Amino acid sequence: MTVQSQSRRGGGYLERPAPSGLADVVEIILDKGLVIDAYIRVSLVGIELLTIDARIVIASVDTYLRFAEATNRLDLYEKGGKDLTEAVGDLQEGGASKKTSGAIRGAKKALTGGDDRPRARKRSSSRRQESEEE
Amino acid sequence: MTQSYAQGVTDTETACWVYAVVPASTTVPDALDGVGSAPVRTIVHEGLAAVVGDVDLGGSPGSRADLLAHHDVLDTLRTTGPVVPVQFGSVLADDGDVRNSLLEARADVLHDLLEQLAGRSQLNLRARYVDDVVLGEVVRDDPRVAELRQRTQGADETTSYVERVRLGELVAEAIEHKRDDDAAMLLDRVLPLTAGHVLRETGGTDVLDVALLVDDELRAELEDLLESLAEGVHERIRMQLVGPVAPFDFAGGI
Repeated sequence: MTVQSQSRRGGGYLERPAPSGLADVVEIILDKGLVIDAYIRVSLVGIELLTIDARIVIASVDTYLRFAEATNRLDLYEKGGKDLTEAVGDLQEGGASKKTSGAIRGAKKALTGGDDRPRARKRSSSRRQESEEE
Repeated sequence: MTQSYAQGVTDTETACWVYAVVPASTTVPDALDGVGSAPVRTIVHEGLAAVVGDVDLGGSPGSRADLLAHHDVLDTLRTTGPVVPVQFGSVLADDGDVRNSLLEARADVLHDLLEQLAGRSQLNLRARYVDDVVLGEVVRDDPRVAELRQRTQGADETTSYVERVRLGELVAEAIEHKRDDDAAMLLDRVLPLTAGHVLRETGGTDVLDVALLVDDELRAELEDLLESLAEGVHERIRMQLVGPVAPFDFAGGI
């Protein structure tokens, strides 16, 4: 595992950005707050609400294609142009990170009491297989 | 009520831009300027104060500067005590309208809200997957994904279209399941320290986007907890906390 140089407090793992830019402010206040029976309702003019649109992701072919593209771009183990020693190193790193994710899963169980509480699942999928893979 | 007033609108008419409602006892800072650089003032009625500013309707309010001004006023007000933020762009006809159709007509609701919000702050928590890490997990966990990935990588876009859609669908499903688990894990830990929360819709590789209302005396504890959670998950999830902000997400109650 890589050693992190961040200290726990101040510049720690939890990012604490100050809301400053327009996008931040839009996110905090637009369409929120007490709705009153207004004499006039002024709408926000001249702002492209890309920041909001980008987050509303519906299950569409476009979304799927974007996920596929991102997955295909992934550089998992096969890093091009490396010699064998480096490649082996990468593979070992991969193995290590696999163990790490197992450890995180373990930690998660500990945090949540290792339960199997019922969760709303939108789809029952065939992902069940995964436990056999591990 | 709006109709009869609206008939009288002229291009140069001045009206009341409403920022918030606070307890009448609140000391609103002097020299606080709002939308259109107009000074902010209060209209008091039976224990409640509406924080307003005059706005020139002929000046086409609604610019990004106005949005930032509205935010800045609320950001100042939240430091003065409990505040019910009013939705951006709400304009009432005049002081009498503010008194009657807001402070008088909504008095009970406003008193209740101010009571609920007293001594509490809103913080916005957002968690996102580290894209490459979570995608890597999906590829490793599901042999179908790994296979489709190999078949479509570098393949002709047209002929591999169906397989790429299927690949993306499997990946999206897998991430959705991960999100359910991870969001539940985070919320299980965080919510006991909060007085209220509002979940926002998430998509893509977001894990969680939630507005939290927290008692001021529990805030440091919550922040410590979030810091240690963020440290625990940082290899695959990045967590971000914004605030305190004015309780915009709780203006409808907890």
